[in-house]
Amino acid sequence: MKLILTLLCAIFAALALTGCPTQPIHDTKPETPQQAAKQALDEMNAAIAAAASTLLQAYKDGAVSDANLKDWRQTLNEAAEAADKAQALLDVGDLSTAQGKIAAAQALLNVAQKRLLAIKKKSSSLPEPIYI
Amino acid sequence: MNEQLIDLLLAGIYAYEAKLTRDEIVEAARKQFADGATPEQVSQFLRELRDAKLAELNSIELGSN
Repeated sequence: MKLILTLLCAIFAALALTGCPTQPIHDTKPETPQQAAKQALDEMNAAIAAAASTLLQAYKDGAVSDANLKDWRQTLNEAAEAADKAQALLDVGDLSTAQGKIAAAQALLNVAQKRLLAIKKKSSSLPEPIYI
Repeated sequence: MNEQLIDLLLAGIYAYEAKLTRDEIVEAARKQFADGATPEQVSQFLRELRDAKLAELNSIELGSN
């Protein structure tokens, strides 16, 4: 039983984090840095939506505490705000500042995604998020 | 030991679920491209989807769990 669970853990974690290739939204390679930034924002917005959806489901399942929900959704909101600021900067042609905002949004998103790995079953007391 | 393994398994499942959800969103965006949408329209679709999911998440009143 332990062996089966261990194997399942390894498979899910590997698929979720690295093993399973993810299809990009855009097939075309960006021709300019502006296009690259816009494509990065599209990928980021898709990832934020997915993380929000999963966190919502985990909370409904009773796997996330109120305290962690408050903290984690704030991180996702901040990532979305940074992405919107980056979009606004791109719209006015300020590429370098936009790239900084995109990096900030990506860092917040990374934190949010890694927190999904800290979700525990309903009966557990939730520890601080695990950063890997 | 068993409890730790189950916790790990559950965490892996949620992480994998996030990946599957993202794949569904990407598929929807790619379908829009295939249907003739412009990059700006697809970007707008993704922003609106993101905002809708966040709004749902933000509407949860703490203490309801």
